[in-house]
Amino acid sequence: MEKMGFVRVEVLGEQTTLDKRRLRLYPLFTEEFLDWLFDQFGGESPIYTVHLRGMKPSP
Amino acid sequence: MADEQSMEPALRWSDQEAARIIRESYGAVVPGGSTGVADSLYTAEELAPLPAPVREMALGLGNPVRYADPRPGETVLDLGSGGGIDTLLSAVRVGPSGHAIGIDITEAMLEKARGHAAMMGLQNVEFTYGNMESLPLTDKSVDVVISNGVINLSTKKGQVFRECFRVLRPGGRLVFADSVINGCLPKEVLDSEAAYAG
Repeated sequence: MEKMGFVRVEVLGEQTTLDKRRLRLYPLFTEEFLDWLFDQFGGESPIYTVHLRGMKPSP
Repeated sequence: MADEQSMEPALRWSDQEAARIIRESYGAVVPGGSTGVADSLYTAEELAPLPAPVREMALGLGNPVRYADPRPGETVLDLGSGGGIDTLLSAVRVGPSGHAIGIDITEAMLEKARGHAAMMGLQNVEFTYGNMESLPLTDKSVDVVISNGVINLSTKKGQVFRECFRVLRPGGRLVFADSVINGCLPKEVLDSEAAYAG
């Protein structure tokens, strides 16, 4: 983001793990798919969600 | 934050394949009557203005509206607006003197979002077709760009950030929620259309 010109780039709030319990909420995924996915991960999710903010500088 | 090269992982999909996967996956989403995603990301107070069908179509990963804090009179752009929850929340916050614009490449989602806006009687919101690598907006035309779990789907993330910068007014802000990974995804996951769409 900084390379594109944004300033004051920061992570906001806390990171949250996208674990199986959370992913079950989404209608995009079947239980069978989630079982397969977490088998690939060895049972532990390496995926997190974050919030990021960047500002376009004022002149 | 990251340099452009590191923002472009070795995706298996061409631009056309990626667009097809997104349209097929998100176009097929049928709300199952659950508001679990919305309830996990937004407070009851935040959700109060939204009818149940809007809450049932929440598919985001966070709550960018909360952090962007749109103010009355501002113009907000939502990249990959889906069923419209964040665009509609923004429209409520900016009020009649402001404007909220949702863009998406999935026509089925745009139709749902337009229906949700009509349900809420909002006049200051529009949902339009567009991709985030080539935004259908003029330079310096918005105050806030938000996105919720969508930028990770782009095959050209650097271009997305360049476009956000172009359409933002000086002093404007980009606030987004998205997924990040600690390490590398296994090849089998990288090759999975379902994993990519999710």
